[in-house]
Amino acid sequence: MVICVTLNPAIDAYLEVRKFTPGMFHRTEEEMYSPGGKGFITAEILLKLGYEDVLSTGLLAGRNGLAWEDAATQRGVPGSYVYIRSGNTRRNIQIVDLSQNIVTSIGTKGPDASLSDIEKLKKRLRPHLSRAEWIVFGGSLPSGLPENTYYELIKYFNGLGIKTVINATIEYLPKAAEAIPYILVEDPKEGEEHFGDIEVHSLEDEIKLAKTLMDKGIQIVSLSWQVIHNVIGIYGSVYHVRLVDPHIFSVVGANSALTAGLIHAVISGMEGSEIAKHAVATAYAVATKLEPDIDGIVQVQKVYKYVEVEKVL
Amino acid sequence: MLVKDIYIRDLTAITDDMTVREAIEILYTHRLPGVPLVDEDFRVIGYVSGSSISDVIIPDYVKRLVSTSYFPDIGILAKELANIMDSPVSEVKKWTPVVEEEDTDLTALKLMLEHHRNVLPVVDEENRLRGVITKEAILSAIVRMIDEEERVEKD
Repeated sequence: MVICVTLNPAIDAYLEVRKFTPGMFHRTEEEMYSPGGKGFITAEILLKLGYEDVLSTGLLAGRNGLAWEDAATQRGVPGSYVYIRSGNTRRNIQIVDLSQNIVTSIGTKGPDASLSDIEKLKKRLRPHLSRAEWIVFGGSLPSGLPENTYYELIKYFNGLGIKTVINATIEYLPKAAEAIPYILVEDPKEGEEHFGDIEVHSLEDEIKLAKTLMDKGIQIVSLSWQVIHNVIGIYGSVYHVRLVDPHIFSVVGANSALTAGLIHAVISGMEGSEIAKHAVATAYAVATKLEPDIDGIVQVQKVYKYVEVEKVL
Repeated sequence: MLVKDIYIRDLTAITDDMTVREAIEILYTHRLPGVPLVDEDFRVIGYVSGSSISDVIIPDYVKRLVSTSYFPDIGILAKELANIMDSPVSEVKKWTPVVEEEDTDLTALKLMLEHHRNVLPVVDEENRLRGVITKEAILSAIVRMIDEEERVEKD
């Protein structure tokens, strides 16, 4: 079983308006709502890849939480969530101005969580642990939780003999990396050129960073930027993975898909460059769509031909 | 139609190490009338609902009253609830019939009617919880089937 945890999920709303003018009322031309969150997307993509023993879990709150859970369940992803007593699950709203193709985004604050919510989550997961082989932590932390939350969770589940995976933006990773997850996936932020104290400006720096993290005991490290260019360290080797003539529609969820691809590849017994190719192909298959979704493993295999893998270390 | 085509993959469950207080919180926060009770291996061992809890805290003599207008004040229920609030949830569990993914919707509906249930846990071959099936889900699937048949006839 793969347990996918999203501690700070959001309802993603995509609204198209003819022309967006601040201060004016707008009627949408098109709209789309989906349950968002890195852990959830990883769970859904794993299911689409054909791996069915998946559990999506995390923290929800208020009416947005109920709506999120309802939408997640409708999509057929097995789930069990813990509700925070107060507040409301986040909404991420993207308003697309069709006349100029400009996107305006608003994100709501989300609930305040506490360590007692984390304890409730651990308790909720207890009856699944005898079958759990992997646990994935994806995305940001809700306010109220200490910065070392992922570090503590990874340590806890490592101690239970479960392979841990973290997929998050850089602010969470240096501390989480100290707990030695099995897989670390960086979701890069524009302008960020460091990993903790380590400066990362070039491909060489990324290769060095991947090696450094693997030397500490992390088995697989993915440092990726917008799917096009990826540095992936796998069991001591490092691969530079590029897309040939890519046609990318949206990179939302691509890193979560890459995470699903890595886990699926390892579970399927792939090795080295095969793992890198499968993971990036999964991310690319998602990036060719508006929604972070794929039709099935065939869609991933179809885009293998666009993925170029070079062993660099 | 098979259960696997229509059941809801909601794995919200109460574990047998929880208290009645924790069970009430889960039922309330999830806005659910009831949830399956599972053991440490996620095997279904019962069902806990608002009804199964109120059955325990409502005194027997109240159940025998002809009219609810004779119902005493809420204090007596509060006292009974206070007595069991921190007890193991197993004290308020009820037995539940279960279905498997390969069972038919008719089997599920028959069990629901026979045992006066609106929700049944769906389990795998080892009795592990896989989700739930509701009467509404079955009825909705039947409506979709009728609509589809009418559409085919029209075409």
